Amino acid sequence: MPVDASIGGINGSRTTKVSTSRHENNWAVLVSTSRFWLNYRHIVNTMSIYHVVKRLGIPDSNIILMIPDDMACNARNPLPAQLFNNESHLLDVYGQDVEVDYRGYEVTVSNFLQVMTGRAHYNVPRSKRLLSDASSNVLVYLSGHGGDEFIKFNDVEELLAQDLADALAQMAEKGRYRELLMIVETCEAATLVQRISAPNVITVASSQKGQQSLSFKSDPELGLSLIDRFTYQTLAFFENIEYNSTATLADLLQTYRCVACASHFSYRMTNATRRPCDVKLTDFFGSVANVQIASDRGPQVRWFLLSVPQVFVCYNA
Amino acid sequence: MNSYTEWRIGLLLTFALGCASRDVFSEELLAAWVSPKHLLVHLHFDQVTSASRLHTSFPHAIRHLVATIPLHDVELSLTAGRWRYKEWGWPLVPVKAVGAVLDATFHSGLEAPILDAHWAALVNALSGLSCASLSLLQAPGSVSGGGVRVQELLRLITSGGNNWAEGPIGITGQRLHAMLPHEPFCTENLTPWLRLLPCRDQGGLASLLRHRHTVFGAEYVSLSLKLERIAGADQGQQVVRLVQTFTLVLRTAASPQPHLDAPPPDMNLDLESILGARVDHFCPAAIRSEVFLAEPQGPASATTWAAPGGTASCQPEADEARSGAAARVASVLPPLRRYDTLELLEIRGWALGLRLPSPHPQLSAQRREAAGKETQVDGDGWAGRDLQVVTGPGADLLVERYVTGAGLLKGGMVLRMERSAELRARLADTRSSGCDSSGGGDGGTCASSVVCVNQVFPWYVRPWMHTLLVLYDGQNPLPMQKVSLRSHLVAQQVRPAVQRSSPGVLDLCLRVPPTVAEVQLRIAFSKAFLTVFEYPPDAHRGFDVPAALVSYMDPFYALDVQWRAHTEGSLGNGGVEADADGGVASPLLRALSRDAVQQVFSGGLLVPLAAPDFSMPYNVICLSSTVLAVYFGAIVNLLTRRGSTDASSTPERARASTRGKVLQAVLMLVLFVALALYLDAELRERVKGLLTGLGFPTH
Repeated sequence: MPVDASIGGINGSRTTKVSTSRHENNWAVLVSTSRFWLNYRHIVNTMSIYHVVKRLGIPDSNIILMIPDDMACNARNPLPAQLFNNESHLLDVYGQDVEVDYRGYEVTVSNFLQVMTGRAHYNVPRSKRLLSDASSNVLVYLSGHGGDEFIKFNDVEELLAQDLADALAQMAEKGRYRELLMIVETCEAATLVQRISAPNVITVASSQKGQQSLSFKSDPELGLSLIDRFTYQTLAFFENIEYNSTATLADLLQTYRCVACASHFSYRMTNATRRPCDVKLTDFFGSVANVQIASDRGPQVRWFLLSVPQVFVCYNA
Repeated sequence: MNSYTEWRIGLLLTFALGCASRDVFSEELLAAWVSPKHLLVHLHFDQVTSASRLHTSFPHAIRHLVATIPLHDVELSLTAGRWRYKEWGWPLVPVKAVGAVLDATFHSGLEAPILDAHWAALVNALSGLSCASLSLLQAPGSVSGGGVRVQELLRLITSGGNNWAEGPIGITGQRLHAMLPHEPFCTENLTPWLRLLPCRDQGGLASLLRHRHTVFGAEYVSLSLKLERIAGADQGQQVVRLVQTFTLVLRTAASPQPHLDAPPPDMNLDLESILGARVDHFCPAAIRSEVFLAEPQGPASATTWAAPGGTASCQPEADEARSGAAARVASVLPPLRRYDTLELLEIRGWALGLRLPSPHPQLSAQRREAAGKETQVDGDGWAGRDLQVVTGPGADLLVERYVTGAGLLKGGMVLRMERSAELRARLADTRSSGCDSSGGGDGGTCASSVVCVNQVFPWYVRPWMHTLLVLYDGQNPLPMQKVSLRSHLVAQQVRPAVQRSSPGVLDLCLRVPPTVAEVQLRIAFSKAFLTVFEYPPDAHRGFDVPAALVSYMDPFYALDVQWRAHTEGSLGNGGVEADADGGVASPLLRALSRDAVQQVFSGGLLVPLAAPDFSMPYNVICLSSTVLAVYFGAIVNLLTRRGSTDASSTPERARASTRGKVLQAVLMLVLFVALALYLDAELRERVKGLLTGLGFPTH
């Protein structure tokens, strides 16, 4: 199946910013933008990516999760506190210790842009802020209803492509990321990201202009589609990945070729110095601290609290 | 097990040596049957710290919150589900309204803008700490403050002071209260709450909550976080107490039985298998970890206090009243069997292995007569007579609230309160024995016949106070009769809403004689029109009015109840005695024996407001229709207009006027086409395509 792939962005007029900063930590901003029970699949899309990044090591303190409506404990859900990606109900993407940072009516365009640009009110607590810097790789995932150059937020607002591009340009100016991977799963997703010109941004969109991002099969027990096809393939791919995997972005993009998505996905890299086959997936989706325990443990006293053994911690993505 | 004991000894020694760790943590669990199929599980975690910076187990985030915001206390509770008073009787543990309820008391003497700033900081911090959308509360329109605390009012009445100007007694401070009735409660709220515990859900009693599907599949789930600042023993020492409670009422799967009196044989009575999770490890930070199982009582020990017809026909003597009171309290607070978690874990090695007492279904004599020949089939297919387990008394007060009226402009609200016969008999008794029996007038009001209602109306639901109607039920067979508000009003505080700024608060305390079984409050309201940006994303669902709070004083709860431990051999009536010494020091038990003021939250209320059509096609149709209407109107007006000269116009002038008209029509057409091209990008592209097709160069 032919796929639109363009490695655009190596502009002659603009200087390519080579990221010279070290890669020290990973952040993830996972957003779902649809409410109501019938949009169950958009919540599951975002929770699938949340499940992936948590399993591969990003801690909750580095994840901003925005869920506009409660599906797991919804009165219409016959399986309380569970969200599934498949009618076999084998994988519960909701999990045991989920932390949702922005919930319900708090998921607005203004809050999303504040999170991205870091211009939040001083009262906003730490768990709701993206505290990334020039050494962080940031993963942004958006899922919901969208159209030509917009995505619908919480059923009443729209985030426009130009606003998104401006927010990313601000982030680049403020040094809020080292590399950014943006994945958008909406209808006509490529139009939402086509105006982005900030450096070191990789965008992956699930559908082209004029195309819809379709949902996967429906579940007879719940009575609706549980997940969208693009994210279903993404999740299926990542379920075979471990935290120390060396799989690259090219492998992920290859998967979409093989299976029938019924929409053309695309990716774009702006002013990026690396190619998809150079970008390791764990650079964005995983984050494991390399812990080395020193052999010398020091004197131990059994009565009082045991002395903590010396630990050297190296952060290595 | 050895290491656990060593941990405990180590910790105790550390306390003894007066080291930096001054954090004390205790955990308790209470399990009680509220019906043959429903089990109440209540977890109570108590952490006290006197240290300011160096903590061993107290969460730093909470300590920081208390240090930065001038609070006396704050309580946040999140609830899903309702307590079914009719089926489950009177709750042993406090029951909250659905959604989020936030109550904070700040230091007195703070000015309004500073208070607002502190409140905003508090709700944002708690929103991050509890993963709830509490930041919506920082808008002043949702906060009601300055209302009187009902407990203080009732105590004021009890103490005999009728003077409102004295002000409330007790802790002075500015109290702010806010509710979010539509706030969902799910795993994401439990996760950060568990993080505040020293052992999270990996050790100790909190590991019983590990099976989230069971926990959130319960019929009533409630979580609460209470933070208070206590003055320490030393001068200037600040002691902070964090109390976390979790309540759930689970429906246990029980197979239907043909024999109504015998419990089903394969009924699951193991606590851990009902909850789906096991306690694997003991939490070393806990200085006490106990489990209390309530023993259900048979009908023999149930109260026989109910006087027929609700009227006290006899006047009991003082000591009879006291023993009756003790019996009443004993029936409400059941005997508890107490277990130590560490001992249970050591016996079994890997789980608590607690077997719950069986909730034997028994038919009480009254209910058997009442049920008669009616059959009742409930969800499990139990066809038979009304089954009620007599583990405790029925509900004393039932509160119901509903909306009346049709249309989107006006409506009405009805609040119905129903008192049980037992409660009325008790109140009648107290009144005749302790209070002025004159009843009305200025001769003083007996606290036992005061019922207070607190209702907050959002600013867009505007109640009309002159339509407030209070109805008491008359003697049978008379219907509800209206009472004059003036003669029955004990106290009131009405704070009208400020549009778009603060909600309206209605605080009423009425004198309700003990003979009255049903009280109805009716009020009419009109609905406001909101601007289009003020609607929430799901405007067509309706708007929630927060739950009403009904409080009254139950004299028997005012008894000084102390729990006393019995030795294994003699259980008898249980461990409830009004004894001064030998009391069991347990935070959970202290919380169980509440004070005299009883509070009941009503259910939720949804008010539909007029909403415009938000859909995009509608707005586009409106706009384009307007543009077209203006255009056609202008053209028609132009073409049908007659010149100033009529019949005597010369052909040249007629032609000139026609030319003028045509020019104006063309100008109008060009103007509107330009406007349409400017507004519509698709039209622009189509026109460009057309022009390119025709050969014109377009950029």
